[in-house]
Amino acid sequence: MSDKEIIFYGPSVEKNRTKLQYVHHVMCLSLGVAAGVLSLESFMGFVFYAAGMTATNLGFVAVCCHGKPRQFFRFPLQEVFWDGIQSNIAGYIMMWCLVYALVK
Amino acid sequence: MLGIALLLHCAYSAYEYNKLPISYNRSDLLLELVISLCLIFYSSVTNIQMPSRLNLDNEIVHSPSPYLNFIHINKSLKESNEFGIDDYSKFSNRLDFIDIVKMRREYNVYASSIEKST
Amino acid sequence: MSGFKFDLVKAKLLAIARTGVFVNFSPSKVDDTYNELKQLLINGDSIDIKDVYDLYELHVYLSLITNHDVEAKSYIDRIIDQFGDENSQRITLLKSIYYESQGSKKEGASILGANKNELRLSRRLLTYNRENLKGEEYVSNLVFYLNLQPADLIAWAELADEYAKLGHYDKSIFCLKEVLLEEPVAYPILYKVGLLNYYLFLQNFKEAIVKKDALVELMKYLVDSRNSWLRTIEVCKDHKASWLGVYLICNQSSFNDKLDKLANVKEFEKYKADIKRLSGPSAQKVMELNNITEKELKTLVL
Repeated sequence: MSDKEIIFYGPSVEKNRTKLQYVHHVMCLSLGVAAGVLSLESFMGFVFYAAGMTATNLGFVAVCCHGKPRQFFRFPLQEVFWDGIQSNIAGYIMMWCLVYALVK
Repeated sequence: MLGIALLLHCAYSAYEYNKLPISYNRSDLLLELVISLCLIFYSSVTNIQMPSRLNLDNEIVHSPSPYLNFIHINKSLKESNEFGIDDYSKFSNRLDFIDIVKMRREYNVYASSIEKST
Repeated sequence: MSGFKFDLVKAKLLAIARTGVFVNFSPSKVDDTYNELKQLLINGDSIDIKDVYDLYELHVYLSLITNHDVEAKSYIDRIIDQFGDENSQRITLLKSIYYESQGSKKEGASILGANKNELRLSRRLLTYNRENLKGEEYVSNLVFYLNLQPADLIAWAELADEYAKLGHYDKSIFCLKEVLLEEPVAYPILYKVGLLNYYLFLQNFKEAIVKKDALVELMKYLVDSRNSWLRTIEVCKDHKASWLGVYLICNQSSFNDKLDKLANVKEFEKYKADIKRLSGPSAQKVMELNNITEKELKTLVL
């Protein structure tokens, strides 16, 4: 196949995105619980979230993509790293606040 | 499950610690949290793993990438072509146009030939 | 059956049920699948409710094909008990096929109704009395239907097959191209287009042809065929049949000899250069994919 024409298979793109979202959802909620348990506050909470999600994404790329995310995602940096962090922040904050209030 | 249990245990420990009037060292909590997060990550990744499949010839087919599907069409369709069933098989199957009478006739011929040979 | 094997067989049978792939099974394969499914349903208390009725539907079809009519009826009744008798195209279709298999074609056709919004039933209605119709009549029914439902790709594929059976390969290719307009990467269709172009070549090729214009026409069929097969390979890596097709075109010695005799024709030169380029890689790929030696390849093709 020529380099100019790369055809992506829609159903596979969709399935991979759904699986990535599942891992992101589970991990953002767990990280929220962890942040609450550690009683993190303000800026530290967000740093913890960014670090936790980045570690999760690195693990995902290493285990699920065998280190080759381009074979499974069209824009790996955006889809795996950036979208994962910014779209799940609400869930993280919810769990963080809830567990923080319960523990304190 | 173990990951969630550990996470909940951490939360309860933190709750009990916070009742104490003195400050405390949180390294044990931190370690438990890291272990529980790792376990939860492992279980979520295991959950998205695709099981092995039987193809139409009853051979077990292992996907070259057990977690995710290839997005490049030639690799993705190669896999489904080898499996024997894919999104495009509807064009050759055309269930709504099935000629049931003909299939029954063909089966009868086959069944009687089996009977004769035994 | 162990739990692991049970899950594998269940997944396979569900895939068969949901795609209808059993329609193209050989009688022995139908027999094996019927026995496998029967065994699965006997031990199948743990099968999820959303899966079990798909398996029942498959069991009805397989029972009908293997002449287990009583069993088929009992499974239709189970499905009707759960979902009712009306408002489901799937159930109506199943009942109609059951009646057809029992020889009550009229009854089978009458329950299909004439609602053009019920696509699946309209398709089925077309097949009514199919074996008493001549090929052309069935084709004209399909053409009439496609005038009303031009977006029905499954019917286009059916029409293509019917045209191919009658030897109208050019019309068949036209129908398949209608499917490709909507599904441009449907590789089985791309492969079929290549195959039909090759049939067209074989249909028109005669040893006596020596004129340039006639040879150019024939070459066009081979070029279209080659391009379709190469596109299939582009879309579905290592498609065995397409590689074999490309190899066959490259080794079309009686036709290539005729081209060699007519020197300095621009179109032929390009064609010859292209097949020369493809000849080596296609032979190598066919040997690699089919695990055969060069000697075996030659005996296989010639």
